This record gives sequence, C-alpha cells and structure tokens, in this order.
Amino acid sequence: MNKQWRLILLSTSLFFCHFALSHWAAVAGVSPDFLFLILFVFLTGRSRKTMIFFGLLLGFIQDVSVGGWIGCLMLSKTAAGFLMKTLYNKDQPPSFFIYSLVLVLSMTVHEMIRLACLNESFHDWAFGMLRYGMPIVLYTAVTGSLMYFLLYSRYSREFD
Amino acid sequence: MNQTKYKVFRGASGDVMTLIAAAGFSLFLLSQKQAPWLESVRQTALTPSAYLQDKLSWFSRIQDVEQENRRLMDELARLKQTRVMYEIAATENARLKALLGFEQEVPGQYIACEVVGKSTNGEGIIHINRGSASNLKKGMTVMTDEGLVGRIVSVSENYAAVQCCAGPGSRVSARDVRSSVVGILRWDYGNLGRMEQVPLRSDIQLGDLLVSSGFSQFYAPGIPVGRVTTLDKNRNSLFLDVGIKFAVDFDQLHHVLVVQSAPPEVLNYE
Repeated sequence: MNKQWRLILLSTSLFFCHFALSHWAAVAGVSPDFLFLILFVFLTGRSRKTMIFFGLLLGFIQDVSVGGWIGCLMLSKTAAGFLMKTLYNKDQPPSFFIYSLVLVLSMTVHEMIRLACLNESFHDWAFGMLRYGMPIVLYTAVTGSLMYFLLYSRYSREFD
Repeated sequence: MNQTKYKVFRGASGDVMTLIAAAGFSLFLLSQKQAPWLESVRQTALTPSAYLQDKLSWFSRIQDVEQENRRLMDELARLKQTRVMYEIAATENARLKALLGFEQEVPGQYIACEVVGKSTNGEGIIHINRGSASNLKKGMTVMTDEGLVGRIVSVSENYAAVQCCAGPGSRVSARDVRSSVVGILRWDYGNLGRMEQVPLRSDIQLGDLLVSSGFSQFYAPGIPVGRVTTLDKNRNSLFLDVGIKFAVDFDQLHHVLVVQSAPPEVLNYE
C-alpha cells in the first residue's frame, strides 16, 4: 500500500476512534488521546511548521468536539507538534525506543499545558496531572506504541 | 549524510515565530471564552461534532444500554411496589387538600434528553440530543432523577453542551438539608468533591444530604447534589474539610432532564 494512503487511512481510523470509541475505551474516566496520535502519525517527512499547523487544526477540532473552552487543546497540541518535531527531526523511521520516548515526552508536555489551562491553582494542576495527566500519557503511549508497527514495521514497509 | 542529522536548530527562528504566532492565537481564543462571536463559533461547531458522536458511537452505547436495561428492570420492580403506596397517599392527599381548600400545585416542566457524547479525560462536558429547537437555552439547569448534573453552556439547533458540576473549575453553592449550612462544592476527581467555606463550628454530619442552595445564578434550588462522606478538622484552618460524593454517577449518564421551570418543592430531600 502506498505510504501516503496508509497514513490517510490510519488518520481516518484514529479520527473515527476519537468520536466513536473514546467513551468505550475509557478506563476510570481516562481514554487515549486519539487526535494526538493523528498528529504523531505525521512525525516523519513533515516540517516543524507543518506539525505546528496540524497541531493547531487538530486542537481546534478537539476543542469544538469537547464543547468547552476553545484554545486550550489548540495551544497544547501546537506545542506538542513543535516539540515532537524538535525531538525527532529526521525523515527516516525512528527506532522503537526513540519513537516511544518522543511520544511520551510530547504527550506529557501536551497534558501539562492542557491541565494548566483547565485548572486554576498549582495544587489542582498537580492533582490533575497525577489523576488524569500521567494515566492519559501512559494510555496514549501504549496505544501509540501499537501504532508503531503499523507505521514503521518491516512488514508495512514492504508495501511502500 | 549531514543532511539527515538532527536539525534541531536549523531554521529554528522561523519555526519559533510560527509557534509563537500559533500559541498567541490559541491564548487569544482562550482569553475570549465569553465573547459572543466565539460563542457563535462554538454553537456552529457543536452541531457537526455532536452529530458525529451521536452517529458514530452507537455501537459503544449498546453496552451501556444493556447495563442500563438491567438497572431499569431492578428499579421498575422496586417502583411497582412503591407505586401502590403512593397511589394511596396521593388519593389521601387530594382528599385532604380539597378539604382544606389548597390550590393545585403547578407541575414543573422538564425536557428529557439523551446523552450522545461524553468527554473523557476530566473535562466534564457532555453533549445532549436537544437544542434550541426544543426551547433549550444557555444556562438552563440539567439534572437526573438522582440529582444535579450541571448547566447548559452552549446550544445549537439540535444539540447542547452541558458543563457537569463534576468538572474542573465548576462550583456549586450547596446547602445542608439537615442543618442549613451553606458552602461551595467543587469537584476533585471521579464522583468525589469537597465542600468549601464551611465554618469549623458548623453542625454538619457524615451522610448529610446537600442540595443546591438557590444562591447561585446558575442552578435551580433544592436539587440534590451529593452527600457528606468525610469530615476533617484542620487546626490551622477556620473551615472544616468536608469531603462529598456527588449524587449523580457521571460515568453512567444516559438520559438527563433539562429544567425549564420547577416548583420549589419538586424534589424529596430524604
């Protein structure tokens, strides 16, 4: 399968998951951030500016789909897009370790910014990071790690 | 070879400027959260996003429906037993009212809605399948038979977004039914929260029922909000540390009622 088509298919599936499976996949009120994973799908082969715009767009979609404050997820996804491209600015597929590291770090920053927008005090933010932030990071990282094999495994590269 | 090395600083100034512009734009939108023009953007965007959630999440809701069916069957059996008692009491009540010349109470008006979308990850917002076409308006109180859910924050023609009282930044002015102590409820996580601004010498006890006080401009009064679960006296504070459990299980919300108008004594406190 053409790489471009695979990316589009994967992104569409994740978009579908965001609207259809988020609630179903929730464990103790925590579900993976599927729209963040769409951003992560385009880690290689894109410029940092493109990632910033993708982050802005996906953040806007998520903000309006949640129905709360517009701007919160735009800000966090924009920063995450910039950060993940800063941490891994190569065009060839990353190793699994580097992929996971970039995923966890950028997702952590994403959650730190998101919860900073939602909470009013440092105490609430810290509690939110403990109760929601870190579990979301872990859950998204596990889901994103499965995605690695779809994106960069030898099997999928044979079809390029 | 060097072309494919890490290019962290290459072209960084342009990228940083783009980042600053994008972040500035996001912060500007955040600062404008109450602006009317942003409200109209939110309303316009609510329709397609709630529609997508409504149509795409049908199979994940099947599981919820099964659980709800089981719960409703149990409740139906219980209600059948109590209905007979209430019928007797209602007949007696009507007879006594007629005897005393009381006027008929005005029944409350509620709109039943289905929950079509829930935000996970601690945002505390749900989407319901009624909107301005059903006379729903921003600010209306939303509840279930168990108690207070929240208030409508955004309305489109066929959908509405509800900010749950179990969400970040949400505050509910609540009153202890037994002692009439008033405090401010805020959410901690899950279905748990805290009641703040309760003076140390207040007569508040474990298990006390808390209802919306009516002092708030957001919520109709007398709606159960939760119960007191923990009580701690902090020597360094002027206030009691009161832990509460919300009356509504926000993870199990399937149907809600939007309060259009309610008689003041609409709900039984105990």
